[in-house]
Amino acid sequence: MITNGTTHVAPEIVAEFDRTLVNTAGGSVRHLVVTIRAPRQAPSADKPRTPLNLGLVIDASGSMAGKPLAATKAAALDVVAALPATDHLTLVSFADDVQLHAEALQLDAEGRATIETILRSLDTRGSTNLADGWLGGCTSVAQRQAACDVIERNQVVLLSDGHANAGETRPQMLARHASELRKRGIVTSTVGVGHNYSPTQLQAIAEAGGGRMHDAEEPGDIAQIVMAELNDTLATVVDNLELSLTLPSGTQPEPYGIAPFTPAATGYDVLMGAMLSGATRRVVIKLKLPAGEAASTLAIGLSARWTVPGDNKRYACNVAVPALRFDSGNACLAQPRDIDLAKKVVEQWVAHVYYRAMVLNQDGDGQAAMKFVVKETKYLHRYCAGVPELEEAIGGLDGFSSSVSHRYTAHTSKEMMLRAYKMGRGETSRRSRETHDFATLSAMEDAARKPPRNRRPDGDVK
Amino acid sequence: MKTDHEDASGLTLQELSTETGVEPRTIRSYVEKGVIPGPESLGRGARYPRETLDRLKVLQLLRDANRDLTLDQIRVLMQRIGASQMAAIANGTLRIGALIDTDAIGASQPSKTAALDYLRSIRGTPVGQSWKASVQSPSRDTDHLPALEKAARALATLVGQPASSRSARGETWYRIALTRDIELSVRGEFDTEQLAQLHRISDSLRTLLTKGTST
Repeated sequence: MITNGTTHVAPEIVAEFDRTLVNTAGGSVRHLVVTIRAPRQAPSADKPRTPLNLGLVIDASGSMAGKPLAATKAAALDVVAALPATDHLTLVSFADDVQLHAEALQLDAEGRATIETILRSLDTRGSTNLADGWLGGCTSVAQRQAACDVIERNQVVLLSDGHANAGETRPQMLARHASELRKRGIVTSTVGVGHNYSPTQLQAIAEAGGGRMHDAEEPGDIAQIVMAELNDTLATVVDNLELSLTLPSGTQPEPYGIAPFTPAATGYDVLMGAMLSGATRRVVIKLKLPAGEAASTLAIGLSARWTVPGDNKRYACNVAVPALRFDSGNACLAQPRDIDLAKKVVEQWVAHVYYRAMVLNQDGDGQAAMKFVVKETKYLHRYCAGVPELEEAIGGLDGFSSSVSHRYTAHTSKEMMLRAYKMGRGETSRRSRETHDFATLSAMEDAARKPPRNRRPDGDVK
Repeated sequence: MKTDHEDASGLTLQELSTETGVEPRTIRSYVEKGVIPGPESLGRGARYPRETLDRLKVLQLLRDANRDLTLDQIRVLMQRIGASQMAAIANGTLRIGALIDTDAIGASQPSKTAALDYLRSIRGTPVGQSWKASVQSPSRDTDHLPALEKAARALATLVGQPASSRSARGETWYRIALTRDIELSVRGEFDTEQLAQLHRISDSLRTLLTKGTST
């Protein structure tokens, strides 16, 4: 239930707890489930859509040679053909250097012809200076944003197959820039191309940049995914959505999922980014609660802020959160549970475990990854005990805990992180071949690790 | 306040593990990676200084506060936090959140030049000059450091410790995919020419591995 007091486009936001009684002795863990539904808005023939000020930033490093670059160029041509003359396109490629091929070019017949000519001559070169390429594309989009009197949708789509290895490479720093640009009206989405890129940098940019990250494993998927991203962009009805959580003293929060979660003066901010017409997003936050007197209550504050595309205002509302009430340990144990809500908690929790474990695994800290999985699995088993449909959802974690101490291949790691990312956002993959589930990926990694007889030694080379 | 098992000569590995819930093996790996100092003596009864317990607790809090931080980044951050601040964070009198600032979001939308102003500030392009003519990495201006790092630097300044060079931010690995299953990882800092050479080597390796069938 929301209380925004406006007639403008507003998301429906519902906050629920899996249990509302908490132990007077302290240490209770409860899950706050926040579900956000964007309003459904059909395109109106009477109301033209917001013009697009689009930046396409293309990775032209050596590893994109051949099919990946050809498919990316074809995707760019599809974009050019699909957009009307009211839109503008910036085209940037990057490798060691950054090249600005077209700056806010109007997509009339002449503009399209120019872009086609540029794309035909685009070739690969050198290493991957992703940050400068991306920020270069943002700069051209920002220059048009500054000069233009019409309200436009300022969007950058970054396509890369690589792990940035030149210029700024730290995900935290890339996220910082993406966040600052999002606050200033430029949204970035990313498309990971190929089998072995590291999703960490692209996810950091897309999440903090208010956009989406897509995976184009096969070159043939690129055009479809870029067009889908543009359609998503144009179907955005709620933008820059942020939740602010105010917590009582002594409460320790831990968010599931990968939405950026930033400590603030009185609590935490959670960035949800853009939402499409009719879309549903969910964030689950684990709260470890303090002690309190029996029958007293614990109040959690929640508010939301967002913008609406084509509108130059910012909106906010407070969200009603059920109060938590202190009671005895026995009363807490006896309280009933909403199984449907518990399922949502478990889904996000499991995705969180896989994602976090893979971050540790790729950080070279396999032992910490294993310990983390073992610990969380123990808590999950306790949470799901006695409910077969919940227990089924955590079945793969036992096998995963035994394999995650060994470093996973870049490909399996990427696949697992992507699956967790999509689960965390409640999205489905846009690519032609769906990702395997976590248990299958983990089993495939295990099988690949066992040394088969008469097999040619290969695998990761260090 | 000292715990029952702690004496003046510090804590054993097992005691550290019990206090923090971090496995002894993981604590050893933190020592190996320089995130926490090693024991003051060697052997089975080796003891770690009391400050090690604080460092371990702060390490866990930092990881909880930002899941993207690597051990190398945590190590650099912790080098800049003084012992008194470390203890205050560890015992809960200073919240880790107090080290991390956030930007207040105004009630209205930012100006339409705000993004361009921001990009110019981090990329150093003078007003009116095309960015194309001066492509460069984001500046190292402290105004745009990650909030956590900025806070740690401010703390270090307060207690009179100079901030260490940002060039000491751990090792860098370059990863180049050779085939779907094989990747080349090389450690070090390389200039443009060296990187280009590395890519030429990778191209040759890729050709050898795929017998020229790779695109």
